[in-house]
Amino acid sequence: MQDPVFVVDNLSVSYGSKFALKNVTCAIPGKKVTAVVGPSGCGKSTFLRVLNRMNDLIPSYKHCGSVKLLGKEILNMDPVILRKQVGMVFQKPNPFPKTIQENVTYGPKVHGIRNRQMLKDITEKSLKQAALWDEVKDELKKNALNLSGGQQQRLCIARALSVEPEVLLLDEPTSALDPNATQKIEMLIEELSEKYTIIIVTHNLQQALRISDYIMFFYVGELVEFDTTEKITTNPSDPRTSDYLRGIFS
Amino acid sequence: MIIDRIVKVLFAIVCYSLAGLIMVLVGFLIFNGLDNINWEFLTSFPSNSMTEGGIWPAILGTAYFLGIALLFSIPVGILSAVYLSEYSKESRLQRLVLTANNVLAGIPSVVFGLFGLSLFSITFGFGTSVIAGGLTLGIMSLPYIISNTHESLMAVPKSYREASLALGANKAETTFKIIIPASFSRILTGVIIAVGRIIGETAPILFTGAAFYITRNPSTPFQPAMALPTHIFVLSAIYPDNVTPKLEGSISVLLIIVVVLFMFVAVRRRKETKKLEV
Amino acid sequence: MRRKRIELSARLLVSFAALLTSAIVFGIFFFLVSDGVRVFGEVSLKEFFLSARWYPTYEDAEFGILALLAGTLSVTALTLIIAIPLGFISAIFLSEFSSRKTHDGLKYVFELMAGIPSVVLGSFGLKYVSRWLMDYFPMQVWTGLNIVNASLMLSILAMPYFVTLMEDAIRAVPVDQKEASLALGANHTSTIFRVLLPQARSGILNAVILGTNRVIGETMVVLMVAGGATMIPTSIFDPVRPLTSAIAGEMGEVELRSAHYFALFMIGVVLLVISTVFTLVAMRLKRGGRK
Repeated sequence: MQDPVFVVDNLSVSYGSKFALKNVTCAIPGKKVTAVVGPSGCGKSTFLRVLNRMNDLIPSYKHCGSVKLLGKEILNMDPVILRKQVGMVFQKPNPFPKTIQENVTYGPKVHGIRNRQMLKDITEKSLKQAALWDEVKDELKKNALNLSGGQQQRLCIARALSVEPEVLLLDEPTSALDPNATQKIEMLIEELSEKYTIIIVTHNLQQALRISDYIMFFYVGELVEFDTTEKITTNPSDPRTSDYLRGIFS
Repeated sequence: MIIDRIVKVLFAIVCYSLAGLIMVLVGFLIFNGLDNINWEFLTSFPSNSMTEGGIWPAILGTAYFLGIALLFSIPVGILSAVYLSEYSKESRLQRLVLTANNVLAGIPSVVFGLFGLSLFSITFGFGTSVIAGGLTLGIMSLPYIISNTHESLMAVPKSYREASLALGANKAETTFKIIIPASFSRILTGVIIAVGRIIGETAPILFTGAAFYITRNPSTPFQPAMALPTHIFVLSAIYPDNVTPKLEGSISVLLIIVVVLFMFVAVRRRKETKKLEV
Repeated sequence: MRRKRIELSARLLVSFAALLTSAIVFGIFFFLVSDGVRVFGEVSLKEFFLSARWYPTYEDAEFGILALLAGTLSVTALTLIIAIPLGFISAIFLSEFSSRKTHDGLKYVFELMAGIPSVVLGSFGLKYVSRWLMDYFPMQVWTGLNIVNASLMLSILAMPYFVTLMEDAIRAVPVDQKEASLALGANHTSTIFRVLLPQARSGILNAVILGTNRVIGETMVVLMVAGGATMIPTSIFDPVRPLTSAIAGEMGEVELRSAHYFALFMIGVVLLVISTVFTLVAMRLKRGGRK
C-alpha cells in the first residue's frame, strides 16, 4: 500500500447514548478509490463525516480515538481548516442558487482569492476536471438550478475541487441520479483518482466493485474488513463480508 | 475560526442585552407595584378621585370584555380555520378568506375602535357597552385564532384523514371527531396566546365600551364597564401624580397576568415538542 | 340520512364562518369609508392631504393631515432604525449561534416582549423615559414627550416581530446549503452572510414589512408619549401627533356626525389603506418567493 492519507486509530463515535462506530482502526491509502460499504445503518456515512468533521454540526455527537490526516491529528483541529483539505460531495446535489460560475468560485473566494483572472482559470480547470466544462462553457452565467440532476452533481464535484483538496469524500453521490448520469460520474471518479484520494460511501455493491481499488466493509458500527477490492471479492476473510457480498443483507 | 468566535460574542452581547433589558423592565414594573396589591386593592372600587380604593371593577370589566370577545371569536375563528384547512381547496374563494384574515391581522387597533363605534355603538345602537367593546375586541382577536387554528389543523398528519375516510366516515365526522381532537391542545394554546394579546388592548374598547369611572358594576352587557388597560391609561394620563401607587399596582396586576399566561403557553409548547420527539 | 344532514350543516356552518370573516373586512372598509368621505363636504381632497394645518376645534376648522402624516412617518422611521438592526442581529444569534437551552430561554423573553401591553409601555415612557430624556439632553429637549420617547417604546413593541420572523426565515433555508458551504471550508460567519442570509432574503423582507405595519398602526404608546403637538418635526426631540394618536386622542370629545368626526374617520381610512397595502405587498412577496 502506498503512503496512507488517513490513519484511523481506535475511533469510536456516539450520538447521545447510542454508539454509531466502535473501535475503528485502519489506514486509507492515497490516490486510490476506497469504497465504504455495508448494510443500512452500519455507520458508513457517519464514518465518512468524521473525516471532514461534518458530524460536529449534530449537537449530541461525541468522538474519541484518533484520526490523522497526513500525520496531523484532525479531531482537535479547526474544522474550517480541515475542510479545505478534505472536500465533500453530498447525496442530493446541493448547488447554491447562484450562477454556475458563482458556485465554482465561492470556495476560492472564501479562501481569499480575489484576482478575476485566477478565478476564471480556476472555474475552467475545476469544470474540466468534473467533465462538465464542454457542456456549460458558454452558459457560465446561467443559474445552476437549471441544470439536470447529473449536471448539478458534477457541478458540486467541480465546486469541491475548486479549493484543491487532498481528499474527496463522496456520500452516495449517484443514488439520486439516473443510470446514464451515474455512469458519467463513475467514469469521472476513475479519472479523478489519479490526482485525488477518493473515499466513496455507496449502498450499491455493484458500483463499489466497479470503481474501487479498496473496500471497507462496515457492519453495525464495526469495521469488519478492509482490503483490496480484488481480495475481498475473491476471498473475503470474514463470513459477514461474504454474506453481504452474496446479497444476504443489504 | 477566530472570526466566528468574535461574531458569536458580539451578537450574543446584543441579544442578551436586549433580553436582559426587557427582564429588568418587566421585573421593575411588576415589583414596583407589588406592595400596593392586597385583597382590598383587588376587590374594591376606586374612590376619592382614584387615590384610594382598588381596581375590582376594572378586573371584572376586563373579564367581561374578554368573555364576550372569545364567545364571538372562538367559534367563528375555529370554524373559519376548519373551512380553510378541511373544506376548501386552492381556489379564489380560499385565497379571499386567507387574504381577509391577513388583512384583518394587520389593521391598527384604533381602526377597529372606529369600526366598533360605527357598527356596534351607533348602527346597532348598543352605545358604550360591554357588548360593543367585547365584539370589537372579538373581531380584533379573530385573525389570531384563525391563523393558529389553521396551522394546528394542517399539522395533523394526512394519514388520520385518510384512515377515517377509508372507514366510511364523512368529512364532518372526520373533522370534528378526529382532526379537531387531535389538534385540540395546540388550538387551546392558541386561544391562550390570543387572550394574552388582547387582554392589554386599549384602543378597541376606548370609545366602544370602556368607562373611565363607574360606581357599580354593569348588570347587563348593554352598559359600559371599566377595564385594566383603560384604567392604566386614565391613571397615567388624566390623574398623574397623586395616584401613582394605584397606577403601579394596576400595572403590576396586568403584567403579572400576562407573564403567567405566557409562561403557561411556554410550558405547554415544551410539552408538545417533547411529545413529537418521542 | 341523519349523517348526511350533519355533513351538510357542517359544511354550511364553516362556509358561513369563513364568509363572515371576509364580510367583516369589507364591512370595516364600508363603514369607515362611508363616514370618512363625508369630510370632503367640508374640505377639499387636496387640502386634507397636503395641508399641515390641523385645527379641528376652531371656529373656522381646518383639516389638513400632513403634520399628522409627518408624525407617523418620523416615529416609524426612528423606530425602524433602532429595532431592525438589533432584531436582525438577535435573529442571527438565535438561529445560528445559540444552544437549544439558551435559544428557548431567549425566545421566551422575546415573546414576553411582544406581550407587554402598549398602554404599560406608554405609561412607563410617560413617567420615566420623559424624565431621563430631559435630564440627559437638556440642550435639545424641551419636552420629554417626543419622537425619541415614542420610538424607544415602540422598538420594544416591534422588536419581537423582527426577531421571530427573521429567525424563522433563516431557519427555513435548507440545511444542505449550509452543509455545502461548510464542506468547502468556509467558516460559520461566511456561511451565514454569503449563503444563508441571501437565501432568507424574502422572509427577512416579509418580517420588515409586517413589523413596520405594526409600528405604523400602534396607538396607545404614541398617544401617551409622542407629545401630541401637531407640527412637522425638525428634530427627533420634537413632539408630534401621529395619525393613530389623533384619532384616539380626539374621538372622545368629538360631536357625533360633525365634520371633525368625519375627519377622524377619514384618518382611519388612511390607516386602513396603508395597512392593507402593506399586508397585500407582503402576501404577494411571499407567494413570489415560493417557487
